[in-house]
Amino acid sequence: MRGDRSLLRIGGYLIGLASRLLPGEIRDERCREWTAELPAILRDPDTRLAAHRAARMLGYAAGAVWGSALAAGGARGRLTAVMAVVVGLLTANSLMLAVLGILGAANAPGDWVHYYSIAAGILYLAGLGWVLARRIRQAAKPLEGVRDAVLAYTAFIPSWLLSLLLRAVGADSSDLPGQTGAPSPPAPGPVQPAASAEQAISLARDTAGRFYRVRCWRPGYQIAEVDELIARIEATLTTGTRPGQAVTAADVQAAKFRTTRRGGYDEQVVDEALDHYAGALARLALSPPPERFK
Amino acid sequence: MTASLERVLRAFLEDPAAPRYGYDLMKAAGLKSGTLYPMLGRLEDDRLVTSAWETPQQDGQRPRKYYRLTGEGIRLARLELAQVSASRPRAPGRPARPVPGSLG
Repeated sequence: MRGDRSLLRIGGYLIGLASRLLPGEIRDERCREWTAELPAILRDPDTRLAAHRAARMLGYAAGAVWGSALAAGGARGRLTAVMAVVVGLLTANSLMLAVLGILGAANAPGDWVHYYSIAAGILYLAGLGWVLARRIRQAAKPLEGVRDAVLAYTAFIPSWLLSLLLRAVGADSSDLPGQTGAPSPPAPGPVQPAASAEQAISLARDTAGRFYRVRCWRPGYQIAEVDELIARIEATLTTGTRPGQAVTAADVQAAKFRTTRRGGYDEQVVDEALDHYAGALARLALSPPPERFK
Repeated sequence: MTASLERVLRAFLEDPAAPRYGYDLMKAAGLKSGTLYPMLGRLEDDRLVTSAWETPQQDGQRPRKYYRLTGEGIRLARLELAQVSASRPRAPGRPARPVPGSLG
């Protein structure tokens, strides 16, 4: 009997939901009528299995919700409006997916995630066009065709979610293992001065010699800008550029990078590495000029 | 007339005088609640069906609402169902076409 009570509570909740969808003048009466039917269904002598009766009762309540949502003209309009907004958002998102994929492929060719997002965006838009065209052809009135197409198209939501998931996974797999969670750099720790700059910098880089990249949708430094500055620092430190073109510690500390949400470098990692570089440059400036400048 | 409406009317006409609860009609007509109640509402608006609350009982159960056809409803339902039966193709079991030669 306790089970019955909780079942009746669920049914009552659904009935409440259903009656809220109805116009005010019949709301209370329908609510009372449906609520009174629930225990009668649970005790229906024609249905032998208790589980069957419970399922019937819940089916009854769920059917009331569905019927109210469709019967109330306003509710149907609202439902369609919500669906239209959902589809609009999905379309905007897939357009963005395709455009960002093209930009990303131009920036970093070879990263399969970009090609995947281009394909997903195009497939999504093609699917939308196909469903719209088919439904409008089939429907007596074009507007009803659009409405049905919108409803049918929401079936694509799972595939869209899957594409988001795949993107996230793809972005992760382009990082090194251990860099999947929060942007916690492989902490170089309290590194000893002097010789440790190289070590700290190599720790901040993955096996391909690049800095750790952040997952998409989070801001990171533009890769090209960071690489360019690092190259100039390396040149100064190792080959000894002519003093006029050398990068100073002040230059490094004042450096600013544009950010991107498309898998840029982890800001914290780059900042730390640049601090070490700045230290190395400062020591270079203080040290007596090497023989090559004499 | 839709097939669902036809089934509801047949369920009512099994015993036109008997009060029918929504759930009884659902079972008799084999319809979902989401289909039946809007239909009952329309029939009531057209004054073909009337509804009333049962008198509260001692066992603390909430009173249920029951429906029955009005006199006009009974008349129209019989008429409509007769027309449907007349216009329907022959009942199964009979040959779909006269056997050649059987007419003459």
